[in-house]
Amino acid sequence: MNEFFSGLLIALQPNNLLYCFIGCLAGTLIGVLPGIGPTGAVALLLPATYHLNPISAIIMMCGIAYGAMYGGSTTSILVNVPGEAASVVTCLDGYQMAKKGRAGPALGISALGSFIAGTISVIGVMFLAPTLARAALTFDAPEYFSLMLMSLVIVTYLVRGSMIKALIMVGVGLVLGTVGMDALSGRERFTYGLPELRDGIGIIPVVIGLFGVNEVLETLGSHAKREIFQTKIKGYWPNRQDWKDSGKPIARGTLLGFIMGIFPGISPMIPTFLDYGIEKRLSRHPDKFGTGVIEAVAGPESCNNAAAVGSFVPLLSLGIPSNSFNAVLLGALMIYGLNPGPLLIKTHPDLFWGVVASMYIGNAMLVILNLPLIPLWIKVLQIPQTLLSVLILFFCFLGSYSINNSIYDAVITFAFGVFGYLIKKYQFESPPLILAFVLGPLMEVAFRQTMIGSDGSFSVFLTRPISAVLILITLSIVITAFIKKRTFASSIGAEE
Amino acid sequence: MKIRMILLCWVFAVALVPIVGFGTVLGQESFPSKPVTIIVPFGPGGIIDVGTRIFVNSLSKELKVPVVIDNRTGGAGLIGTTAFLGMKPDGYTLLSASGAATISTVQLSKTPAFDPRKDLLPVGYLADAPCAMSLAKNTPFKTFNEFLQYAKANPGKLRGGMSSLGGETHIMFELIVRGNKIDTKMVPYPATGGLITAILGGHVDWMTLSLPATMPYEKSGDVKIVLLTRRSSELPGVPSGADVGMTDVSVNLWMGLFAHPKTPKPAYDRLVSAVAAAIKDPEVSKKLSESGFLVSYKGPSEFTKLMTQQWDIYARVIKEANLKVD
Repeated sequence: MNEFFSGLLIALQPNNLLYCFIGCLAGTLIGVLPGIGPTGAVALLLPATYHLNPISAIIMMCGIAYGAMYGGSTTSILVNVPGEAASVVTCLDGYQMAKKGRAGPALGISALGSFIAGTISVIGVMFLAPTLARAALTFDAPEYFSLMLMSLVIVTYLVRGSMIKALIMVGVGLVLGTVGMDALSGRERFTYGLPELRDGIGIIPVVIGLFGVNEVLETLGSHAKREIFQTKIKGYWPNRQDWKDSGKPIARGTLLGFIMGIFPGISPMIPTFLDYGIEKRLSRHPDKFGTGVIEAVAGPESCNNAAAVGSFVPLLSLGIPSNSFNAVLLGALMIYGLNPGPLLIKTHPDLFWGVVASMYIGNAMLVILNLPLIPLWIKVLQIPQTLLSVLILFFCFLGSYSINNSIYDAVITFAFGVFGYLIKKYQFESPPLILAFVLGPLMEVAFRQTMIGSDGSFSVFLTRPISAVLILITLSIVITAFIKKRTFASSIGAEE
Repeated sequence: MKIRMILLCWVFAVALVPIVGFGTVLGQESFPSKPVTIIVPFGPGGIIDVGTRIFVNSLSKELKVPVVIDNRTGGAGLIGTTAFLGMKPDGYTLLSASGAATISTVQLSKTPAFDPRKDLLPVGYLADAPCAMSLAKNTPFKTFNEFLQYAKANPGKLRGGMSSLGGETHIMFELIVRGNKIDTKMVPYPATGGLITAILGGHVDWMTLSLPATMPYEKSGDVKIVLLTRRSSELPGVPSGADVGMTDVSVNLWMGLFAHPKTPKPAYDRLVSAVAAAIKDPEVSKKLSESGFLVSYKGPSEFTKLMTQQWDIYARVIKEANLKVD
């Protein structure tokens, strides 16, 4: 505990507080603007940080990461543009709540849920980081495959409509995920000779197109006037009922996010989607999911934040980055001469505890920053529809382009915007596509690694205990779905 | 109104002069007179990116202009290198790359996009880091020879992990396996983090990875490094490939700067001398060695010789292991 307090003292130093604040502010802006994410921003800022004390620099960069997460939720709720892949889930119900005039409570519960999740997760990091990191090492290719298979199966709970259509979307997502250079053999697949496709289709341009651009096209295509925004803003804060409904989802989301976040190789998007599916499964009114229920915002938002904090566990305890942002942080630590790795906590306890303490402070700062801004954000919704649509389109395309300075990404956003519009007309939904698109390549790599290691034997999935458990859970989900013989669109009144 | 119009026209004209004149006047000044960009064909935080960033501070001081890094990731280095080749050959854009990005990506493809021997002009070989073969913690063998004995006595039992298809560490892996004719499973881990997790968790028995990336785990006792591509002062007891009779196991992970072949000679010479001076900065040496690189400057002619040598090694391994794609 003493180390935590010494870390707190470091984090509370005026200059570190300032850097944390700058990071949070910059991060929020980055999160609000679609496209460039914390990774790109931190890469740009790296040279400026050489003159800083390394701890201050890392605190600022972490601030950018949390800020981006909070900012990403904001645009997801207000204008259906996900700031990053994990915010996609927030778009589903958060935007519907905004359409019903409940953007304030959505933003509020998102910020507060994230804060609670972040705080609890930081406590987890404080006490359990090295232990958890070592425990996560038990996962290898078979376990990752089984885990991702389970996640993909739960995704079928995400849809409000036909299961068949959801599965078709999963298929399309899997196929789209194969585009690019195969990681294990180097062969190019579906790239048609275009070097830009060598690394596959970027997930961010796809989700910006499927959600942001698609929504704009839809609004422009419909004749309904959006007076709802102008008149029926139903309060700015979550009310007591909202809190009652959100309590358990926040708890579940935090637990799920943190536990899955500690595994290197699991991006925060996966537990967030999983959490949505779980909340829907456990809810008393699953058919209302997708129309704007607060649990569907509270749970995934907490999960998202918990997973992001959890991803610091392997980074700080073992020097293993779980995502591209952590990889940049790792590089920064190397440049500063603080060799990351299993000995980091022992050799640089001030760094570890300083960063952990600043996570609390950063989360607190962001809540204080974001809550008063909610009324301001809601004013954004009162911008005339035509102007708002143009602005959204502009930021979507600019954002897509800015990721890699590549016009192809903007083209992809446009293409998926149109694609999203068309499929919606036929009652297909995009979340299963997105999840399959992200999970497909990962599952394929894990599967092939397993096959190489087991000489082609499938039994390895069941002989390894953790993998066996996950496979059994997957099977039970599939079987119960068949036994109940229902799609969730028609599950009114049916209790387990 | 008319006077206002005339005045406005004059203001515009005067404002335009520096903008237009800027370019022409600058063209006649000595090189470099505006910022230099270094394209890094890898992601930020990666080892080449880290090494380049450490170096540019010093280079910037030598050239007396800012030196900016432009990360162009993708295609195992191909996107960045192709982008570099498309830039103006005026000496203001350089490429910072490794052997994997310049030699192996080209050789892996049946229709190579460029030929590094003709399309890249070496400016300076900056530093290198050896590749390391390491064993997991709970293996019954602790040295390279013990490993070979065990592998020959138990064919097909050992699991070896590698990352970066076609890269320096993959070459080391293939050379170890083929050179000693041992039968071991090769499990690819596209993400380095995944490979490290696997060896820490005991899911693979041995792996090849760069020394900077492996060093933290050697220090914490989680892995044991048993072979390097060149000797390192940090690990005096560990043999290099040459020491155990495998002279080809010498392809290090190196970092070098390239310019466009059509760069004007005065600019090129200035760059070469600036790089040679900048790499001598003790601050740079210190930081690079903290990150696992050893400063080992080679001028253009030595650099070219090294690249030709490595070109042959890569070609041979890729052919034998049938690694060519598409």
